[in-house]
Amino acid sequence: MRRILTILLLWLGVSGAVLAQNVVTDLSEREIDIRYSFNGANLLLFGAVNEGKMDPSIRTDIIVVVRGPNEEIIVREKQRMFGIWVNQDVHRFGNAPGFYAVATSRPLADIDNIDQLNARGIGYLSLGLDQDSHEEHAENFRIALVRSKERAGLYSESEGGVSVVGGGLFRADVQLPANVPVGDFTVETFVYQSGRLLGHKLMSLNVDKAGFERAVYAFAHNQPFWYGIVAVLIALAAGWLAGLASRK
Amino acid sequence: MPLYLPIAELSMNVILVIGMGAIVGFLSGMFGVGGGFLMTPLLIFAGVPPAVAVATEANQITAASVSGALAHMRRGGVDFKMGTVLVVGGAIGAFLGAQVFAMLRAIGQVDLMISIMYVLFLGSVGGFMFYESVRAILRDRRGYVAPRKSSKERHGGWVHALPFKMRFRKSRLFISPIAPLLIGMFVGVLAAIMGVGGGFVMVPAMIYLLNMPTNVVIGTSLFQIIFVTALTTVFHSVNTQTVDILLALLLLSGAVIGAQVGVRVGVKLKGEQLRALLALMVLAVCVKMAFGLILTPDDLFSITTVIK
Repeated sequence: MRRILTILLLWLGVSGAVLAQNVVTDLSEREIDIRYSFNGANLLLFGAVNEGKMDPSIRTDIIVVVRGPNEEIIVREKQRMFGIWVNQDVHRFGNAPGFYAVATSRPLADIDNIDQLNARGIGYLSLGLDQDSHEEHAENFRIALVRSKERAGLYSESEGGVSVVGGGLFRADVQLPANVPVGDFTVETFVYQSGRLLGHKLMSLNVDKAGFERAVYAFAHNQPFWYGIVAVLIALAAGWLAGLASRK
Repeated sequence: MPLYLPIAELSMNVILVIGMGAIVGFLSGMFGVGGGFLMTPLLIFAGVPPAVAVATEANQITAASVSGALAHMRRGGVDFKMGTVLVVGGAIGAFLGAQVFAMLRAIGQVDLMISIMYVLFLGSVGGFMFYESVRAILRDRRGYVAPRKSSKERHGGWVHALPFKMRFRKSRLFISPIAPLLIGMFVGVLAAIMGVGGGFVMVPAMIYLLNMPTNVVIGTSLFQIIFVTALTTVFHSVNTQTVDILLALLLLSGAVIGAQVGVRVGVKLKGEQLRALLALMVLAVCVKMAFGLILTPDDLFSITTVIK
């Protein structure tokens, strides 16, 4: 039994290594800092497929998945009560990625079967989100979560987000909006040919709040009492200075 | 020019933020009001989360009240004893208000409460102000002069029936501290859950309920507002981390400039006309808020990220 396991593990390790050999990728930036003028960032991933391992007669499909750190997200549904809209039903999702972008060279459904893709964490349907309730209408909340995140530019599925330049070269553009969560991101690249996974590469990316903003945010959350005191002192000083300035 | 606001967690255009401060500053200079009850809704309309708008505005009001309070203090327009009673009441009210605020935020109802409070308050204050100013304009045309209150009226009423009377020398009053304590408390609750200084409630209450002489009313109310909004800032910082210093400073810088212009325009207009204008603006903001509650939202679902 143990031997079989060892062999299986060895085979998995080797096949992982082989998959990684078949594609090389790099990112325009490994560190993204949110500064005071942060207006979002454009993440550029470029890579090359080892053409020697591919069948030149079949088109090569590329999928790039960028995933942010997991968050706990509460989804609320409004209902009309006494003529006004009030939050009523609540669902809590314990593990939703704070950012999730899928860029593909072709519609996902044309690349592989959906169940296979889900198993590899590709596409919205793969986001199980660890919901605390398994009621039927929890599905509405899951869809609403994706819709809200999409509207905020935090989730995206973009067909044609990957462009294959030719000669095995490709590039993917992923937009990170200003409200992107901070933390460790993963960037995964999948190379497919006629529904077979031929290459896989995992990279990491770090998004952080830099400089003054990080300091303010961290101060507000780590020492809230002193943050409040400082806010008051700044207000008093600014108000006094403004008074002096306006008297002249 | 976009600027990332660390607590509101969104990028806003600096010019837009300063401009909003300037517009509200202009109005507050022109009408002689604090402006919190216009600034907070404006921030919400601009996309700032309501809880952040309320807490940040409390912080900005502290700053906006300093120079006025100092000016009144210099010319002896502050009743410190009365002010202290109002501050104590305000501290209790702000503490309770901030607790309720944090509790409602945890269950996702704080935005609703802020909107409802604004609709109720702006509706009643704006409605009353409009009625009163239109009546004054009409009476003015007919040459009507309001009768002076008799001494009996000045010293009658339930306020003077309360126990533990004490002397407020500056206000030339001998009354129980219970009434100003309650007034202060009510204003404190408003500061915490609406992000307003509360002058628009406190000043009439001081004049009509407490019968304070008008020359100490503004100074004393500014004195109370500074302390109570400062406490509110600390309470919100501790409970919900919703005070955005950067946003408050930007709004203030705009407000300072706007107020200068506003004061100059204000002296050219007549009091009743000013009040009627202000009342119409207050009612307009009220209606916009009310529509937000009644109209079917684009998306019935909303999401909140839990900060661990």
